[in-house]
Amino acid sequence: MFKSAIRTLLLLTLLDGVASAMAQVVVTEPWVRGTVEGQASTGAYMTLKSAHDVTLVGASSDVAGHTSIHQMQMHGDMMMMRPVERVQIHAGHAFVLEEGHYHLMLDDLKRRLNVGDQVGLDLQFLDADGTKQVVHVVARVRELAAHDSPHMHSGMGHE
Amino acid sequence: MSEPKREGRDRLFAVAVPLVAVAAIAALAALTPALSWLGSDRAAHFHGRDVTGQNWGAQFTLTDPAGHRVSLADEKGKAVLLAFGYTHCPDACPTTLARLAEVRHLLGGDAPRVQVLFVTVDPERDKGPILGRYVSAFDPTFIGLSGSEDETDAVATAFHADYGITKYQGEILVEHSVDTYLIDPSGRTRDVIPYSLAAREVADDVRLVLDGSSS
Repeated sequence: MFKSAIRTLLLLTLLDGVASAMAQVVVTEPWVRGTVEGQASTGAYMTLKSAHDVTLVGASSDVAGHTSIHQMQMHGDMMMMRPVERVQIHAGHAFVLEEGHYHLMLDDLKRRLNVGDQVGLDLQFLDADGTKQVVHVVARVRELAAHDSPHMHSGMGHE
Repeated sequence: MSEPKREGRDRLFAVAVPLVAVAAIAALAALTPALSWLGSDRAAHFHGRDVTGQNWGAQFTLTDPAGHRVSLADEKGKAVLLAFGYTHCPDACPTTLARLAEVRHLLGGDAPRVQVLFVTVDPERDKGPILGRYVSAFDPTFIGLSGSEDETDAVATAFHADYGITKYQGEILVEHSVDTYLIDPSGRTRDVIPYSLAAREVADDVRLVLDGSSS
């Protein structure tokens, strides 16, 4: 009786593990813009995809004192950036954090980020049922002048 | 979420451009290409917005990261590409500066005849050597410039550039115009280059003012 209860518990734990592995958000091509000595902030970019609806609610990194989700918007010739509290990732649809759109803003950088460095990021997601999920990502540092793609996706038509 | 609120205490640098002026400029901008097209002596046009003869911009003197005063007049004889931004900018400023570095590359032998000036709209945080390091990472010839609030306001106003600094939940949020201004070798502002132009188009416009063929 007691043994079987433990077995059930174990099984449930295992199943739970399988379920969360399946719900895991897949992060591809994460990168961080490199910095020069003394530079206090930079942006992180990546593609997020999930089999279920999830919400990105925050992020943190060892290299930054403060990390937030930012949205860049153009109003005429004005570039505006504002923090957003959450970003909805719809099931099966890739959400791209990219230049001219959304990025993770790494502030109060603790060190210079050199090209080729690896930066750890913990992304916090909420599942539809409110379960918290933290996805650890290792992003590669690219040069300060890097572009995420040969063209911009947000309709600004650069190159 | 609610819109970030501008805080009165941290002086807002937003430079107000009266709507009437904006409308007038927009009307002129709309007419300019049409007028240029009618003028048969104009063989080539800017990809950007031609502001020749509109007294766009002004002479200015600001400070480089080494503490030297740099005037626009010092660059006479060169085409100047002037942009506004700040080093905490993760996105728009690197895009602009990387493009301007590519423009110099595309200009090849004419590159020494072009000077890029990057004016910080966030002089409070861009103090010391950081601004120089930042712009040099894109191209060692680029010059970063900063000024007092009044100096920065005056330069931005002259070029119809807008910017503002807002505090929101402990974060400092900066917004600014992302146009680049092309000043010809005689010191006249000729062309307002939008953020969307590709490097090769910007290079075309620079060649026009270097050739003097669109004056």
